[in-house]
Amino acid sequence: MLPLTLLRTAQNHPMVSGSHSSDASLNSALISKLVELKNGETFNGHLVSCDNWMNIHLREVICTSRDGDKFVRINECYIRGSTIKYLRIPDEVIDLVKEEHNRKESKRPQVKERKFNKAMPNKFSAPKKKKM
Amino acid sequence: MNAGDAKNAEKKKKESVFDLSKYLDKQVRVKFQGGREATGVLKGFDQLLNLVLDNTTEFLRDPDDPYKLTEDTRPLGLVVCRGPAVVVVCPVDGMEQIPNPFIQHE
Amino acid sequence: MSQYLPGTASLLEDLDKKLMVLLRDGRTLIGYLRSIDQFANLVLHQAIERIHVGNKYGDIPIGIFVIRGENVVLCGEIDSEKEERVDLKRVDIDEILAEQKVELEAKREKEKLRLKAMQNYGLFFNADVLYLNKVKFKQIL
Repeated sequence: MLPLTLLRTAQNHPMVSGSHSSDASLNSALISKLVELKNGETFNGHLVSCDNWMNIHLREVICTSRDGDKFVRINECYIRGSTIKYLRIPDEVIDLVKEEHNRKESKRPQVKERKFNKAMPNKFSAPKKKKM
Repeated sequence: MNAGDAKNAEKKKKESVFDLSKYLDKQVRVKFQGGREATGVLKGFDQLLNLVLDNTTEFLRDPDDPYKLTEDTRPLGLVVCRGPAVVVVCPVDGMEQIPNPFIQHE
Repeated sequence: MSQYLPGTASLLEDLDKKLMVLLRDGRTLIGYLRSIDQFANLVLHQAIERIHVGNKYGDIPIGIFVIRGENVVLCGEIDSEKEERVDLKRVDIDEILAEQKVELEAKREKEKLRLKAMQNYGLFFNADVLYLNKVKFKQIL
């Protein structure tokens, strides 16, 4: 599980659509994160999405100034990946990672089988299809 | 997940998360590399995050500390912001200074 | 013995080991390395930030940490046997934070003076930002 995959897991998890979610649990079900930028500012918020460049989209953000003396609430914001120093993520994400991993693992044998069967009769036409 | 979904996911991965179209003609706040901050009406943008801001106001900084903003501002008018220098983009709407929200946890 | 892989790949040998990571802003982090990628982005699990002042130190637990590789100065494996033998005194978080604050403030003052002096010679630059933050690490996720 690569670092960016970990972030993506934190983002992809159906954070809002939990079946048992009352308002309170809905809030905590959202993955909340802390991002510190190279300039020292920190952003606390819920991770909406992130991409391959580590660019990040946060909701309900609290931005703390470098000296920790100013606090600004922001509805949402985009952060450029290259300016990030580090991210802190809650421990639950590790469980999500395991779940995700298991799910993928359980799917894999089927895919392999199919690939194998298809690849056998004609090796040269298979490669493009099997990636889909 | 069927083939189409997988394809979409792949596409999504390659895309940047920046979706600034919803901020068009709205006030946005932009922080730059090096500590500058400005606010203005977003008139345009591109994939590289170059921005066009109208009626821009820059927040001036403490001369001793390039990361500390002062109360002073200066008007800049119509501005093109270079994408690579942009650090944070957020809408001004709903932005407010608040007292320390973390103190209760201590 | 596996073959030594040069560059970022050499970090693969440290996977699941207890590492100390020094960041460019001066922070020292310790945790179990769980994952890396080609940019040397790191994932630390059960991480702590260790603050040293003189011969005292304090640990702040920070959970899971994703560090962008470019901010890392160095990282190395921790020998837990030797770690216990080191002649340092562990104190609690509040104490170490208070001491660190004093130290950092002194450092900053000095840095400010230095910058002023440099500016008098016409040299302007952004000194890398030394961190000083008591509040932030009290934050709960």
